[in-house]
Amino acid sequence: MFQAVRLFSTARVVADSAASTSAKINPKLAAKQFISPDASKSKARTLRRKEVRLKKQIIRDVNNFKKHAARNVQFQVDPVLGAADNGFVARVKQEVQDQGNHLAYGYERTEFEKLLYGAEKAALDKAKGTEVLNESIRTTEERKKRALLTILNIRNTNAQDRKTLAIRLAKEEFQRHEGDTASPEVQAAILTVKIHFGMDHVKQNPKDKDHIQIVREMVQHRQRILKYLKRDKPETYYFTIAKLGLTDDVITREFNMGRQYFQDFKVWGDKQLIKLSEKQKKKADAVADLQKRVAEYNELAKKNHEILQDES
Amino acid sequence: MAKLNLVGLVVSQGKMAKTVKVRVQGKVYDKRIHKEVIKRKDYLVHDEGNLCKEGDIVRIEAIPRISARKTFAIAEIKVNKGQQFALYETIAQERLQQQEQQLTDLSIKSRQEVENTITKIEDLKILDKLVNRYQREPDAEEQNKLVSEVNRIKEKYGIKSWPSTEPIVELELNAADREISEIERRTANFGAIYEKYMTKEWEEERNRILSLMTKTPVDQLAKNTAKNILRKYVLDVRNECPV
Repeated sequence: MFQAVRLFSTARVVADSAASTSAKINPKLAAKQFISPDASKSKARTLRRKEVRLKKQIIRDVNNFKKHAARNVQFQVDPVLGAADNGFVARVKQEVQDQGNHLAYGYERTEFEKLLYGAEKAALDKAKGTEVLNESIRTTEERKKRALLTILNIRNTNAQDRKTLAIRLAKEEFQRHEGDTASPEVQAAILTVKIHFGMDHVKQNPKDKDHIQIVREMVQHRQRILKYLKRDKPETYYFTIAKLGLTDDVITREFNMGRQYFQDFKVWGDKQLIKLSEKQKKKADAVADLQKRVAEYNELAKKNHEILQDES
Repeated sequence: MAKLNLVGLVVSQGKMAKTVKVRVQGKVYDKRIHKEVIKRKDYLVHDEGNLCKEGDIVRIEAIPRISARKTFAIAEIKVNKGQQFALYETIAQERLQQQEQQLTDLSIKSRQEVENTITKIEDLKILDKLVNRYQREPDAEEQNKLVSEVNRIKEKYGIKSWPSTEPIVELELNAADREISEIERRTANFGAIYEKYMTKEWEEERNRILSLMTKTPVDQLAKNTAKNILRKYVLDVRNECPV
């Protein structure tokens, strides 16, 4: 959406939405001192001086905070798992957990039902017996079917088989044409599935360092493949990362799945994994303090702005 | 004097109002190593209108100094790669929203299909039982009831006779078998199929196939080449063929 904004400094009209920040209340307003008309001369002067001093302080703090924020830009989404509300991952996880059309070892439910119906019919044809005999055949076939369904239920199969199914689904969703198994999109999708399965394991077994390393390598591998795709077919790249729940900064910026990541994204809860030195702690506290102060300025500025609005 | 002109890459945008950082690259001869080395310099450049995006290649032009570090302004965007990327990003979001809807519909449909197959097989089992009972039933009134019930199920699935000799349910197991027999049939009858394609009424279809399968214009194709292309098309079972 473009908004024509005429700024006071320039005579030209600028088509820009970012320039509309002038509408935002300036934190400098927090320094405003309301001098009552019956205040003494010296009192008024003190207040005016206080206002000037506070204004300087506010400008310095706000700028320092801006600088800090520009230097420490957070990732837009989780660089390993992607956005939490991702449709693709949710779909794959549901298919792997629920009893739908998919059975264990690559069997399909519809084919299974048809085959067992055929087997029952063949058994009945072969017997050609009385009603009692037919009934007994039917019950045994029913029992067989129930046993097979239990064995082939996706919930009863092993983790490897579930992973194979998930990979197949990922392939089918991302392939360029039927039978495509190696386009960058498919490779990235498969790696995403593997990363999700791997992270499930890592969450439960924080001490399995080898597994953490495997997942770490897969995350780097996915980054590498998607970087290539960005060079090769940018349009497909943006569609693929959107579908995988990732963002551009997660792919192009440097990332290592280290302790800092595990702590920041609370993989194992609120566990503190990195111990700060005294100096670092002091620095972090100072930043937190600064942030708090800037928030206070903004609140106070809002209040003062309202008071000024009421007066005029 | 001519204004100083440089070409560079936008490396940072959106952090300062109306300002972008442009990286200009050039080669300088290093006297110590007797070799040209790459030299890079970053400029803060005035961008009235905030048009540039990260990744654009721009030409910048010297202007009278407007702030401590700004003495250049954007003159021209030469390659708007960054802007294109931003566009692709928005397009991708729109496309994704459409596709998500389709995919959820598809998964609901496939679940429905499983349900349908299960009910069909249950119905077929009931049909078997009814037919069996009909043969043993002495009472005429009861027989009529059974017949009406049987007809209802038959009508539901379009079954002509029961017990039937035709396959009632499609099995994936038989798909390869069917495919092979179809290929054999088409290979044996290719002469007839080809003749049909060469008739006037199939001309349009023939041209469509040929233009689909090759890049060369249809009227420039040799007769035997066209025949081979048609054979390739016909032997793919997924395609329809006249005979």
